[in-house]
Amino acid sequence: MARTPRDEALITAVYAEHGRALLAYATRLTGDRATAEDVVQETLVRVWKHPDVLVNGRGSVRGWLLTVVRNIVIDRARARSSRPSEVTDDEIVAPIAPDHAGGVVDSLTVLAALEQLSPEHRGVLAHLYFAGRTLDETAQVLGVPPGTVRSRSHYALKALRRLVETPAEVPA
Amino acid sequence: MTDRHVAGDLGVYLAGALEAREGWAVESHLAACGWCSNELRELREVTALLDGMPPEVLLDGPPDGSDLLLRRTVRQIRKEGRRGRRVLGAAAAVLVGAAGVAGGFVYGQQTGSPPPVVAQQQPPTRTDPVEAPVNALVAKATDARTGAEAEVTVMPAAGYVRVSATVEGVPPGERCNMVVVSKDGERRVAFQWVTGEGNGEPLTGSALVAPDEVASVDVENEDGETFVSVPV
Repeated sequence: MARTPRDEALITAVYAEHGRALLAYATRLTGDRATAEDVVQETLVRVWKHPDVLVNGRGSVRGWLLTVVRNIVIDRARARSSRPSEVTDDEIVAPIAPDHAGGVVDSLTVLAALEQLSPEHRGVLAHLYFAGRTLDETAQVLGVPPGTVRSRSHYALKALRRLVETPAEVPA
Repeated sequence: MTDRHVAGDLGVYLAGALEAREGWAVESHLAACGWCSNELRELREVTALLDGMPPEVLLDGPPDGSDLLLRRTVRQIRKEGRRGRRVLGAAAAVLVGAAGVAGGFVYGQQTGSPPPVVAQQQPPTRTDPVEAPVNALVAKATDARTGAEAEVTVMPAAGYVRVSATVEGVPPGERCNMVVVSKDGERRVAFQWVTGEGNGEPLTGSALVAPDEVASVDVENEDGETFVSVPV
């Protein structure tokens, strides 16, 4: 049977976990919400066609998904033969296959490390480092005392450092 | 400067999240304390890694607002799935005719010998999605009167069945039961939900009906009106 409710459950699960990140990223790259939705749709269809990427232990699922989003945006821009200036090569996202040449820590390794952090550690880094919130704002959003934000962010960075230095062994 | 070590503040300091005055206090301590300066160097290596990441990487959950995008995607994979397996669809249609029921059925990978017509014509394609689980029974039916369509997967368990389904064409706002009907006519609710616009989202549940006793899976509302019955 070509399509089963399980396929749709798979896509639904990916959407529920990564949809916000994918759409936000695609919207920033394209500068257009409608186009971004098309890009995310195409990304999800690729997941459906290659569900093995979700389970083969390559590391970061989100890294793979963001890579696909970026590639689709670039392909579309090339097709229109006008490359959007927002997309630059130094911006994440590494190719699907992790490249550990020279021991350089690549962005997929960092992504995989971020995904291994506890939700508390991820949350505090998300607010302080990615959303650019102040100490007090972060404390308010998370509903914890500022002292907790201080110590938590410190430990989060230490934990991240450990994870990046010794990436989880994944089967080839 | 203060004598208090500031290592614990460096996470917020490096994020630029401290008030200016507090930031100066941290800096004045760092200037005089080798231990904290060393800590700063180590943490800076980590924050440098974060600088290279798109800010979206830590966003979790589905997008805000409606899940129109998800439904559109589900529709597309249904369409592509159909196109990819047109031959199998025809084979299933043959089975429907032979069985003389409103809904066709196709076995997943059951243990018995499968109907040869399906086995021969099933092409191995690159777009093979996740297959239905072993022994799962996939069945589908459309009700000519209501226009409702349901595709159900019935997975045998020890003394009961797990049911997952996608339903389309039921008017929005209906409070629905997914009912597993046994051969004795016993009706057990596997799950309940309220239909949305267009429907189509995958639903799952289970019911206390023995796997070989399942006769059909019905979509009905709380008033007992049946929208579609899928024989399995």
